[in-house]
Amino acid sequence: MILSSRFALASDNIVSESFDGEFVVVDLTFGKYFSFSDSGNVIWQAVSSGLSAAELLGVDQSKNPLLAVSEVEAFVLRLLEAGLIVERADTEGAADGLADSLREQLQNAAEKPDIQVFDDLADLFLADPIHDVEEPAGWPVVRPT
Amino acid sequence: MNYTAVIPAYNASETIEECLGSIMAQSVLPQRIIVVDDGSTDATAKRAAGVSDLVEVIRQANGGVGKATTTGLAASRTELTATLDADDLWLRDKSERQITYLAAHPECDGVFGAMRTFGADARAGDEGPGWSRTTMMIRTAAALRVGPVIDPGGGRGDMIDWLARAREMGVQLAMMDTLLSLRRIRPGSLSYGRDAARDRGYAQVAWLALQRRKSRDKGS
Repeated sequence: MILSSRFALASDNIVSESFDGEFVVVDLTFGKYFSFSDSGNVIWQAVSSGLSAAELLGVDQSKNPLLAVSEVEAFVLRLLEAGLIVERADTEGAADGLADSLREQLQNAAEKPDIQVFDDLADLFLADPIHDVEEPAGWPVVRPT
Repeated sequence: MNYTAVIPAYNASETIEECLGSIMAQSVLPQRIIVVDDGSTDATAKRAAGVSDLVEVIRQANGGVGKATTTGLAASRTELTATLDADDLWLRDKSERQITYLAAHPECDGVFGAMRTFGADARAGDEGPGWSRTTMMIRTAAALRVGPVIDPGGGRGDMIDWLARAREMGVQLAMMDTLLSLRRIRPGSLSYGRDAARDRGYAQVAWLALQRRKSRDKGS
């Protein structure tokens, strides 16, 4: 069931960005941040973009033994339990073509789907004052160079 | 122990005088107050200079709050440096308490304190540990050891990154329970709160921390 579900980021406090193709997710409510194994990175990109895990895996997911259905299912459940994603009621999918390119990356993955959580910066994230000033009245402003 | 106050400022003409006023009201005054004007297009520099002879304004092209902080730290010539955002305030005995703390704790490199939000806004009055530029007093040599304050994309999280690097280097940072500073919240500001483009800075801070962790793991 979980494999065919569609998800979205759980709230505005979940920030997901990729750097050099590597996703990092920050939960600003608790100040935790997350990183993924290579296959986890691809599945995160898919489910956080509105694809279901089933769409990503396609019918031929058995090609890579690291990607057993039970492993993918457990991974998606961990994302849910960590509060990073929520199930969506609508059924609209992600952009066409995304599944194909991600599927290829997934087939070449060398690690099983996994997520790592870090809380060493939690006190700093939770205490960081957002500078509530408006451009051009003040920070945060960094002009492009 | 002498200290220098460092204020990075960009278009802060509305608040800079009040901010500097909270420094001039300290029970222990700094030897010098450095306002780093980060390419402001308003009267920030003029207003700052008018507050006291202790104020020295350093002007630079707009580069971000982190870069301006770095400039200020590098210009400090005293044993201690205390930093402050241009829209925030210190309580009267902030510096005295922190100097006393650092004198009593020679093993400690930098000390912070509790901070309370203020302003005509429902969020005003929140109080908590201020791991922030506005509450920091640090041994200048330790601050310089940490290196430049990097501006993450989006302009948020510069101090998280810098303080994380400081800790990883073994710089000893302490938090005082005492309320020492006030952080201004401007009512009705659209940019307060979550903003995807600006929150990217937080993700970058986390990514940088992950990269450092990987290098450490490789090295160990």
